[in-house]
Amino acid sequence: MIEVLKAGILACIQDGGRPGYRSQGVPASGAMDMLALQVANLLLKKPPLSPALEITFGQTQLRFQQSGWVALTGADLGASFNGEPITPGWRFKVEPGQILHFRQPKRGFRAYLALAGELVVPHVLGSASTDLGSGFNAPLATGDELDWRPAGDFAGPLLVRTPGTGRLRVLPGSEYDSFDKLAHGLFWHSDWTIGSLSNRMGYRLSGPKLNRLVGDELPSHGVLPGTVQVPGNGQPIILGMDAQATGGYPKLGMVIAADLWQLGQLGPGRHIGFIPATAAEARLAWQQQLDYLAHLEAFIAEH
Amino acid sequence: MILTWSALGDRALVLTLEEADPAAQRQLHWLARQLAQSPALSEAVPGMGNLTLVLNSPLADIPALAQQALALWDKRPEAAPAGQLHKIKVRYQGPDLHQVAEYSGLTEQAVVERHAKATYEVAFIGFMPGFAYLTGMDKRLAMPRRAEPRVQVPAGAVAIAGQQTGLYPRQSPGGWQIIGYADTPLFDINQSPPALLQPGDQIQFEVSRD
Repeated sequence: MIEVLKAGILACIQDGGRPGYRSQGVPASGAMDMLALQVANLLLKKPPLSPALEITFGQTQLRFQQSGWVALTGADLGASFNGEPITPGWRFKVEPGQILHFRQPKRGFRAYLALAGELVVPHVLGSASTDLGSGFNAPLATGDELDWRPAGDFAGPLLVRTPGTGRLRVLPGSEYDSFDKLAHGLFWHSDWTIGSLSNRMGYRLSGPKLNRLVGDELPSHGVLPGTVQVPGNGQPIILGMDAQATGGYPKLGMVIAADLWQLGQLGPGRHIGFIPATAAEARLAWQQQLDYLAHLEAFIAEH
Repeated sequence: MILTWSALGDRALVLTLEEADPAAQRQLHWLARQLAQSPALSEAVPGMGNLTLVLNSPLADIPALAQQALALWDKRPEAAPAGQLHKIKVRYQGPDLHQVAEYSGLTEQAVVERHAKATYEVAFIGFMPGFAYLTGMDKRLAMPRRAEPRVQVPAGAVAIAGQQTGLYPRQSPGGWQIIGYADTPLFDINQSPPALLQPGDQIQFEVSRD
């Protein structure tokens, strides 16, 4: 068991999500920083998309009632373990009674805690991911007990550093050409601010107003995490992992798959910038990410 | 009926009908069912006059998939069949029935009769799990959304917004005008598929006095 002494701002279970149900109106959900989730699970030699805790912003406090191995990746949320500060990227052993305490972000926005063995959590449509909008599973609440069945032993602590830049590469979206030249320039060259109403469903950005050449409304169409849409007020919204299945705002751009995880490490008040990408760059970046994970898995297999 | 395509980043492509009509929308649903078998695709998501194909991998060959989809489109049946017919009982006792009647200049009785007389078709599903966007509503019943959305619309609410009508599968905030309630479960995670109403299905509402 893991006792939730303090739930914090938003701590919830996330895994690879439930893609495949958009035609049923169901968001994909899943970890906002899918790369950090995968690294956390790989550190414990688990399938990379296994359920783990996604801790947003901090303020969370957990007490372990058993001994076992855990891995912490993603944001540096000022965590301390048993009173000692701990930076992200580690796998380490916990003992009964020990406390993992997250305070507030020093770098990044979401931390991932993977657990060796089995974390017994309810699954909805094949995924343990919490989806607040759909009402699938609930975020952690103070006083909750997580059913953890530890298994496996490891050679020792291990540290893996994860990258991050805060600049996302973007491909033009289906309605890119319906925005005027000035809007294109402003989109690529502005330093956008992430608004306070941002959440796992979407990040509202503020900055200069982006104008369309045509003002007509679009019929509803499928949208994805990473879609950059622009409503009538000219302020872009980047959709997050809990993005609804369909929407009607014009799609100015799409964050490339390999950079989508970075969105998970940006929180309200932070700045965000965009770099134009080509289809070839997007493919190369994805292949590089697959290679990185494969090398990491091979490295961890020997440690 | 001309279908064009565009890439949506490195993870999807969008097929768009040049002109959408109910017959072509049925053909899109036919296409979605054919493509659902494709190993390269994670899903085919119908919209209003469009279909978004979500890829399993960003390494997929998008132009080749688009060509494959367009080749299938060329083989579409002239008149694609509608899906299953559902009859759903509705208690027309919603809090906005009065306003809809006033706005349309009809009696409440006439609003109910017209709403229950039509056969609706599911154009696509979105907004929330199992929420079906229905086409086929009597134009006389069209009404703008509420100026102030309700914080909570109960599950089963039957409502109108603009030219559209629909049912809320679960309690949620919403700005549609509520004219009635249905008890039919619209979304069940233990069913496959989980949504009762599928793209292309037909719906008839029956007036319930209970």
